Amino acid sequence: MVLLVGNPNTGKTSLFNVLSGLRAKTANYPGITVDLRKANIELTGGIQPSSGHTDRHPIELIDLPGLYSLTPSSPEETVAVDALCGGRLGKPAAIVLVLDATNLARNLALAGEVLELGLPTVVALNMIDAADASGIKIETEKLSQKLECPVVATSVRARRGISELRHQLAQLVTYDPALPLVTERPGCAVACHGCKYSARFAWSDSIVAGTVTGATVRSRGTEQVDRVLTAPWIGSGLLAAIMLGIFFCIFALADVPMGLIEGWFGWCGAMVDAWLPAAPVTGLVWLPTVAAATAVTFAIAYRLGQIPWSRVSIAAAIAVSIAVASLPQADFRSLLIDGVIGGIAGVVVFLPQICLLFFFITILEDSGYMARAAFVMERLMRFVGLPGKAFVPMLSAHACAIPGIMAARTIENWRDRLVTILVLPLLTCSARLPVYAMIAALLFGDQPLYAGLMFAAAYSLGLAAALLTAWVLKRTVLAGEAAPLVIELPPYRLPSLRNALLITFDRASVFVRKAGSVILLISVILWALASYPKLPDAQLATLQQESPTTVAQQSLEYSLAGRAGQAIEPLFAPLGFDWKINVAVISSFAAREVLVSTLSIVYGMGEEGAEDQAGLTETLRRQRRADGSPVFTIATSVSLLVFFVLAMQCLPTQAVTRRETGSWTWAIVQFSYMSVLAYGAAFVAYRLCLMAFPV
Amino acid sequence: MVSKNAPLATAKPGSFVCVGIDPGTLSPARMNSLGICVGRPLELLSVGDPMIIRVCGTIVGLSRQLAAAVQVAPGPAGSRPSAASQRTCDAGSDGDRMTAHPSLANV
Repeated sequence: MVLLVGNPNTGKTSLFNVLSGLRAKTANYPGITVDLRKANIELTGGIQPSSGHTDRHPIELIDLPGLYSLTPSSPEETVAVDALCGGRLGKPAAIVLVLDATNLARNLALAGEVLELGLPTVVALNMIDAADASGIKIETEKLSQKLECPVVATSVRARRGISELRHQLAQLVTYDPALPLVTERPGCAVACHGCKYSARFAWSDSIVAGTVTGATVRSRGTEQVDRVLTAPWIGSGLLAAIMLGIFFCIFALADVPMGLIEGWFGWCGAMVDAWLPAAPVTGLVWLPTVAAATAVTFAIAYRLGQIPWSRVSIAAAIAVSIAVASLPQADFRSLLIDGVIGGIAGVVVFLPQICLLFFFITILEDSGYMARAAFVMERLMRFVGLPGKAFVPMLSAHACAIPGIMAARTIENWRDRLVTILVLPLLTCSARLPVYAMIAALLFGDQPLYAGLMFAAAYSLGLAAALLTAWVLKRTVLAGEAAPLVIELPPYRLPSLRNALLITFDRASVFVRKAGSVILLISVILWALASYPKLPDAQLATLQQESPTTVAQQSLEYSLAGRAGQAIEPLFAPLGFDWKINVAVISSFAAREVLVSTLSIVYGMGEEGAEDQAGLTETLRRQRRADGSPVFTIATSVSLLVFFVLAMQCLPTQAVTRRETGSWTWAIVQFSYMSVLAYGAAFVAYRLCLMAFPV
Repeated sequence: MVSKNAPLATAKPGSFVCVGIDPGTLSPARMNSLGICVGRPLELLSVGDPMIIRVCGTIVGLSRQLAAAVQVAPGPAGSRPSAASQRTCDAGSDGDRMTAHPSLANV
């Protein structure tokens, strides 16, 4: 195991990408929700090409999170330090210490600490091309002598020193452990009075003085640009413009692939529908085939989700395979098309937005702008107890809460990260838009201005609720101020497209693997709730003479979900919902956009009704309660809107919250407070509207 | 050299030497590891909240709340800010460290 260590912004990840090729995969650090990028690579050469064996040395290369010193101040840094000190991953065989050649003075302070660990180390003097360009000359040999370890000048952009680094690394990992290793490293011990950091920096200065000539202070250009980008008003304006641009791009660019994905899954569903035999198949063929297919599905899901084969997981796979195989043929068809394909489609449809978002964020981060953005936002966000860095997640959450929650990792302080994750789902994501559109059509059918204002009000309500919640959390459960800002403003650099694409791919696969397996499971459970128990055969026979929509309507009413909708009628009556709305609300707790299609089913429009906005609106307007009054009054519509703005109705988000916070506790807290908030606000809205617009 | 110590939060742009960090500061480790620590030179580039400083070759954004806990004394060759920080960052060897940072004597 070889660890890649270095300050943030030293090009460490680019170096990792070059060394690993495309073999990198993301793995979780045991016990903590911090992702590490790992790659199994083979090195050739080395000191002692072991007799008779091949000259290849497989190593596991791990890209540790960037850190400034071995005193950690974020979960990521804690993991890096733990790994360096031979913690949960075991003792590292060697270390690649990545230093930024353009700023050795600061980088060497960490180098001093790492070298004192006494592990076999090779120094990669990275971004040497940038140092050359700005007239910095570093005597590599001398530096190597002073640090008492090999030093290789590298540049990923100019492809310099990469093979030399591989060679040095091979020598390190093949070093015979029986031979004495240089463990007496130069360190701060030479002058350890006063602040230990001060001593380290003094040591680092002395090394720099002996090895570096030329300018070390950065060009005035960066300072001039910073003066503009971080100015209170201009900086905020520019930030808003950049973010709006990115946001526009995400919505504009994601639209086509999202349509394609939906279309493709629709086509898959139709194919499966046509392909499954309609006529009864003998159980001798059916049972083993279906059981085997389910077992294979489980194997794939376990592999993707990195779930180990234990006694429990094998038992679960076998039990479910047998259960699925013994389902009636028609039910299996429904499970496959509505449950499995529908469930996977619900996950994958988010992918284009997630990928685009991560791509743009990575580009901005690599360019050095993100640190300035956090700097600018710090002034505004502090009022509600959020750090400046929370703005990227909050912006992302307006597309989809999931990438927003994943982006919250950039927030170092755990409390700040948690507050951000907890309030993110209140921001209006794109899945709420179909619901808003439906209610806008109900309320203001042919008045686009009012409909637009309603949209703006809904967005504002979400944002206000998020900021208010952050403020309340600051005063109560998660007391304390956001950690004050200390952030390095790295030099502006041209971002690497390759790096951005790799990171985007990486994030997307994490989302599909981890969230995907949970979402699939949950959508199958929801399918079961909405499908069972089945209507009695006698009733089904009479209904089938009418229309398929009536069958769907009655089946849903008879199912567990339908019964639950009726059971909780007293609970939602104060909000003006009837049991049919309740069924739709319950089903939308898996994913909000389901509301529209469920409403069209319960009101007897059939599944296709959702596509026909005008038809659905008319149908909804015609609905009457038992006493003859309309169901969708202004008050009920507004109350439904407020409920949807604020409620936590997205299982994928819950799965990601659990993943990022490491426990279901915070996912449950998030769900509970948002449900209470949504219920309370919808109740107030309903009462106010009743007073303002008496029926 | 007569040095007048003051919190960094109230300082005007220029060169300084850090002479103390109040104990009980929220994130001392992060500040220290970025180079804001006793005896080290720093340069205030722009005031405000957060403020922008240069320490040891990097530009750092620092909230005023933290800057209030950082005690600074006018740095060496305060008239030439960027050159000063370069010199102290590059030139100090163990031998001349004490002379490069006279205000260490105040700590």
